[in-house]
Amino acid sequence: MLFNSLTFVVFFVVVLVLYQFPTPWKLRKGFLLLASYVFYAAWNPPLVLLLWLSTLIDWYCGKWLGRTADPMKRRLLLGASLVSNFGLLAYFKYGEFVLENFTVLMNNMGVPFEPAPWSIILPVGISFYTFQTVTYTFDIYRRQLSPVKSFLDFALYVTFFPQLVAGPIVRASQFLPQCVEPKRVAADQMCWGLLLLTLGMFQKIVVADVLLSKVANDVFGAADRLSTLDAWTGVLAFSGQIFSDFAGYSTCAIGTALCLGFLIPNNFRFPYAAIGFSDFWQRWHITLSSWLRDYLYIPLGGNRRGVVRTYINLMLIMLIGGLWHGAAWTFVVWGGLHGLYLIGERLGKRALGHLAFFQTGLAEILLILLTNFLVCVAWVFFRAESFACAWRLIRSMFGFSGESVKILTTTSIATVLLVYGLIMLAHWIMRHTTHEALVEDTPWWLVSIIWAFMIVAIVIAQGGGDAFIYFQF
Amino acid sequence: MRSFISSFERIRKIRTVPLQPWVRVLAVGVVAAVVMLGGWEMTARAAGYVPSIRDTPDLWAMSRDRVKRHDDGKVLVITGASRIRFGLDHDIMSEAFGGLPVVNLAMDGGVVRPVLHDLAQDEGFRGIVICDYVPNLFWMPGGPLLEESASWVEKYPRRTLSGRFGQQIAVRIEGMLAFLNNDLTLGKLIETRVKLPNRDGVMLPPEFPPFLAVNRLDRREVMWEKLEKDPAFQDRIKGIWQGLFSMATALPPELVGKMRAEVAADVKAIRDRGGDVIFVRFPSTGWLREWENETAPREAHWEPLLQETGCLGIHFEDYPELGGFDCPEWSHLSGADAEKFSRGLARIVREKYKGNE
Repeated sequence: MLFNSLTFVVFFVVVLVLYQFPTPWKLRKGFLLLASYVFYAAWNPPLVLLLWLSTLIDWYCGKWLGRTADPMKRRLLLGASLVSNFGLLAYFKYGEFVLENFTVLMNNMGVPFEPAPWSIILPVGISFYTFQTVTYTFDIYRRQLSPVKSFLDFALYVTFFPQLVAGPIVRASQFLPQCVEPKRVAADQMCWGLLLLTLGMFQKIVVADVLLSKVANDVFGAADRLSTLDAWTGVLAFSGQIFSDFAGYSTCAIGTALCLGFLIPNNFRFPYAAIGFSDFWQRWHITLSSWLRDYLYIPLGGNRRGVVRTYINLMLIMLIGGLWHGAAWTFVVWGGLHGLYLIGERLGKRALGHLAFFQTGLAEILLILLTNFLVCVAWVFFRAESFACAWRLIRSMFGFSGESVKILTTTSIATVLLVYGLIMLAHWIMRHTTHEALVEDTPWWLVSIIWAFMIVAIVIAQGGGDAFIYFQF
Repeated sequence: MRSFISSFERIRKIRTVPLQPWVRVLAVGVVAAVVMLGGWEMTARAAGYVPSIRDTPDLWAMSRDRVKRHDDGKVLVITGASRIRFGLDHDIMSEAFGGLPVVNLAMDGGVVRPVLHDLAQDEGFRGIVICDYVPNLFWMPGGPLLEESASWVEKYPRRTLSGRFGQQIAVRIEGMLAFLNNDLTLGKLIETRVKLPNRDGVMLPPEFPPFLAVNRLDRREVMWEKLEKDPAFQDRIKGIWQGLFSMATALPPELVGKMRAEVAADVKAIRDRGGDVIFVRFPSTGWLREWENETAPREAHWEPLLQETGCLGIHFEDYPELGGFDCPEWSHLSGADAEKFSRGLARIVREKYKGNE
């Protein structure tokens, strides 16, 4: 079920009303679990079975991990959890990719090989809930978490509908403590949750879908080489679209969870005002980057084993992060570029970081623009359907396209530049603050008016109910 | 062991509720939104817009469901492009076929071949198809219009439960509010009202028509009053048709022959199960009729189609009661003319069809 659908509006109203009934907490949690299964099944009912499988595996692995102190058994149990979870992810998400590459390899080696067509559906949100559930067994294995006693709480953690299909990736230690005490949602919290839900929908429906997506689709879908202005407009449109789409989903998820009394972590902190790439990855998809840091980068040695090993670890993490987004080499290149950016930033800091210029406001602005420029170059590989498309666009962006065509109207270009400029400005202003602080410092009537405008814009935007981009990941 | 609670506590510190009189903020916000939307609805109605169901793949699928719902598969399917949706009255046609339920599967700007193929593949379908023959669309060999039509058909079995439920709610809301019109969406408003001069040499896509007809839940369309009465608006639409239809060119005979053979195979599959297909050429006028006759001449396309499929074909030029209509924008019948045309067609079909049975 999509947040930006009429079905969700009805579903959420029904859930909110029934959830408020003064029934025992266990019953209310059971109701939330049932609602979460309905939310997921509304997309494709049989795929709920995978969720159940993942829940059962990690529940039992966690339980048995808590009972044994034998290091070998503990390693086996963690291995069972990781292999089964990542095995399902690998089969459903990467099976076709592996098969395609194997076919190309065989054919290049002169071995004729023609596989049967791959017709496996990618379960929505599998990358998110897989990464989420393994934090449970991993943290128990590392003795940072005790197994939870209630199966209901654990099942709700795996399935909680606000963040189930596109994050934020919530850790067991962040969610499970919240299941202990009954939730009474105060009117203030409910209203704030609804405002966040509206803001998320505004980002998705108005900014991403209506104002930016068409230009991005036209430019990335163009068969010809484009003029430099058209190419950059398309890339900026996608840059704004993917932020508004994904941050919009996360904001909806946070707002929805708040209305139900649950707190889930931030996923974005105004990333287009990042100064450098370490800063960018502390602001973009925070729950994924912190997951990769805590469950992969640090176990691999992090930065504790010398400079070269640190760089290798960084690159490895970013390549895996790229592949997490999609089963295609273009995503790997996107991750690889970010790995290079991170390494380059470290080298640059070491060589030039002591210069007084880098402490000035001008340097800050220039570094924000440089970071954003490089982020946009990387987005080309993220969005392009193929390397041919990516190269065509890169050449167009840097004026190497030779004969080129213009496909965008002046109105489209002006709209994208205005919207992207406003996004950058908003991120710059909000760089050191939060939504909460901003709203608290704003007169109440202005909050009301802005809220009303967002509702009106959402209604008259009448988006076509496009799925969130991150659903496919 | 690190505290079980610490990770959660960090979120609790971040996720505070800002201090505001929240109930007041919400109440004023909702009232302001309702007032603004009310004003927008009045503005839309003042501009002549009326509630109209949005034509989407999900609405088409609701109609497609109705074919399945009749166990014996005996339904009267109307399909093709917009001319049949404007020009055919469901009740009159149903009456002509002894009360068969009517299902409208035509698509505006649609290429009918994927729909015919879908019906041919549907083992449960045993009904009659009235197929709109718009020469340049019927023989479209590829491109976005064919892809769009095919995508509607392909989407039908892949609908989600959520999508189906949402569509049921959507049609109820769309039937009440005029501002939920495609012309009045935010994207369209920016596109049509903010016209900045374009750069030299920019390649623009062809312009597609704005709102032309009121769409009903059963997907019958009735020409919008403004289009019937406003000559300036009619001229604008004629210009759009010229831009769009000029892209059609005469097709090589072998390509047409291949498409005709595919249509004939689909017609045969429908007939083998006891169904039938009737082709109808709706009126067009002015430049458009001349262009259609030039790029897809009747003797090279229409006649061989009937010959190869063996179907009954009714061409408006052959019957006085179907000719002589003046299409306000060259391509579609007005509401009043549609009724007259339907009565004439019903009478002809009754006679001819019985003769063919």
